[in-house]
Amino acid sequence: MSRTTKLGRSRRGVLLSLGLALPLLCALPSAERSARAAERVTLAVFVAKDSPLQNLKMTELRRIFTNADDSGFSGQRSVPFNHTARSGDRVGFDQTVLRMDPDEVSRFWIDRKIRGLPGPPRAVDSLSALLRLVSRTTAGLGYARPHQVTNDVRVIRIDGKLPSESGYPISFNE
Amino acid sequence: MRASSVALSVWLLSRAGLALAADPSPAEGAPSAAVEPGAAAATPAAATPAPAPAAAAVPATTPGPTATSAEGDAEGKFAAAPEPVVDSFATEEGSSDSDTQRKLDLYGFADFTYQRLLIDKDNVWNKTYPSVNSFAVGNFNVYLSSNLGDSWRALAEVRFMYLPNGATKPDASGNVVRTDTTVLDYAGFEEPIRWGGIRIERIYVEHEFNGLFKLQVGQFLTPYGIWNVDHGSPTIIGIKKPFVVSNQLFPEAQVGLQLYGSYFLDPLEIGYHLTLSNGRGPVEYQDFDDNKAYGGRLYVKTDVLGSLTIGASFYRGGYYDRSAKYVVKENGVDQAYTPISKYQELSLGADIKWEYNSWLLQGEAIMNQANFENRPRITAIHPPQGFQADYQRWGAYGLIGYRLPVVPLMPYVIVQHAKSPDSPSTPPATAYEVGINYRPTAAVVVKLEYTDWHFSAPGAVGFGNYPLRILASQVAWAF
Repeated sequence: MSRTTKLGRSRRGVLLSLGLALPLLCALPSAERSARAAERVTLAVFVAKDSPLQNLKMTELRRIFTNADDSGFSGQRSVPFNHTARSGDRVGFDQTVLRMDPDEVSRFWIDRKIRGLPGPPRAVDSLSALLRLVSRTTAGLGYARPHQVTNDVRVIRIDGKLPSESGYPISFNE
Repeated sequence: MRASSVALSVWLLSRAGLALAADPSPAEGAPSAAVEPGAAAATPAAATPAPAPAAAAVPATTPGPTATSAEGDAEGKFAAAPEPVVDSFATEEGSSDSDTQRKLDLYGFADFTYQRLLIDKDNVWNKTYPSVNSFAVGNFNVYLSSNLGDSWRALAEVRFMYLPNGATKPDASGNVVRTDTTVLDYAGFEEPIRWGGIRIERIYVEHEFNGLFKLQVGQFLTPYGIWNVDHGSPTIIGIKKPFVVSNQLFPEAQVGLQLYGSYFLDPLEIGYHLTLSNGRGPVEYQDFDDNKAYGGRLYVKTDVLGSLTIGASFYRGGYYDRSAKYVVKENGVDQAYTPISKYQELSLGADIKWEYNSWLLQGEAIMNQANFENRPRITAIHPPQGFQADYQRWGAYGLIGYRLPVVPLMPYVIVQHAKSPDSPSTPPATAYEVGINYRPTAAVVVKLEYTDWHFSAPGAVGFGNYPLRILASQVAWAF
């Protein structure tokens, strides 16, 4: 009798564990996914060390990366360098700064070129090349994750904030 | 057994813990002091160039990842990125390296159209409306663009056409004469082939002095309104140009100079175009009366609430056509000119374009007035015959569209009205159009459009007595 009771308790324990485990097992992949989806990415905008640029508004950054010419009388245009299309940080940057998804970005540049206007900023396919280009171009402008930025370039403020400060505008969920 | 259950639960919880740990706070990804530009930037002015402060280059007090490791991480990320979808459109624009800029960028667009008239068989439009019930490649435009370095840029756009083959024109006795370009191909067995034409849409070289002054010399599209500059079939929403645009109340293109520029006065972009050209005439590269045309456009654009652009344009110029004949004079041979047509014209236009979220609203209103000095004789099959009177033609259109959120599809509605007293056979007309613009990829557009024309008068030859309903479809692509 006691043996039967022990066996019954053991079975109940197994069933209970399974009952707890199964929902957790089912929930786990989605929890991992959402954990990954919720990863917050911040992008730092950087310039050459000898660039006089210290701060940009988001509207100004948007205009620079859509090749709008705001050089005025000075004629000194910023030279933006982009990541390759559809790379994760490019998509996030475009959505945050340009407020466009990848398809909208493609449409934007195709339409612009058919209108006879200059095309998109140069896309650089490696970070080292991007950093090198920006560091050697006084008017150059690039972006990358803060830990990827080297001392060859200088991070500027966006809307008065650095990437480490709360309220920094260029951040998105990866 | 209990122990195994507990072990399972612990393992599951540890997995969950790992999953949670994989979600770093934003601060973890934030830069260390290594990227702190220094105290000099503590109170930055918006985009205000400041003297390069020594503090800006302050070395890292807390070194972050080394350059090598950062590069390694990043290289992996960049390498994992798929190929750009806009490869052919990704130029070296903006590069500081003038050597890499000096490359030829070749691209273009084309379209394929099929249209049917939804009218009775005895309706005269069946015989006069162009390309009815036919498959047609309409535009095949190729762009050649190049940055020439030192703020010089060149652009050429040419259209390859089947024309003049098949073009028709009525003669004085009412016969419709068709152009036939059939020739025998000497490169083969002299099989018959038809040659087509090339139309120069625009070709210019541009120098940028600064953001306020950019000068184009060559042939350029007249900078008025929206549709004339949007220009390409993948870019424009509808299939056919609104009549007020296709009727060229402003000349579509001009040969001469264009000065343009813009200034950003946050949140407004204010821009202008000024043109000086040969003006409208029978020959693009010759101004018979040395009477230069001038024009301009002023626009204001803001991105505060979507993207809103409001513009106004004008054009003033003369048209002069003449015939010439060699005559013998005392001192030799000379040419005697006889004016065929000569008039002064003024065009005015206003336009608005507003893109807000997925909505698009655009409209243009255009007026053109001509005052003749030498009136041409009207070539009309149906009386009254006579001489061209001064005229004022005008028209407008409005377009509203909404791009759906999931499918890249934009249903749209266009309403347009046009009055062209210069062409007596064309009665005042109003059209209602509904259509869809489907863009499965950024470079391909599929359009379907239904147009219902209503005429408020019969016109000189009675076309206005017949209803005109058109169902058109088009595939347009950029390459």
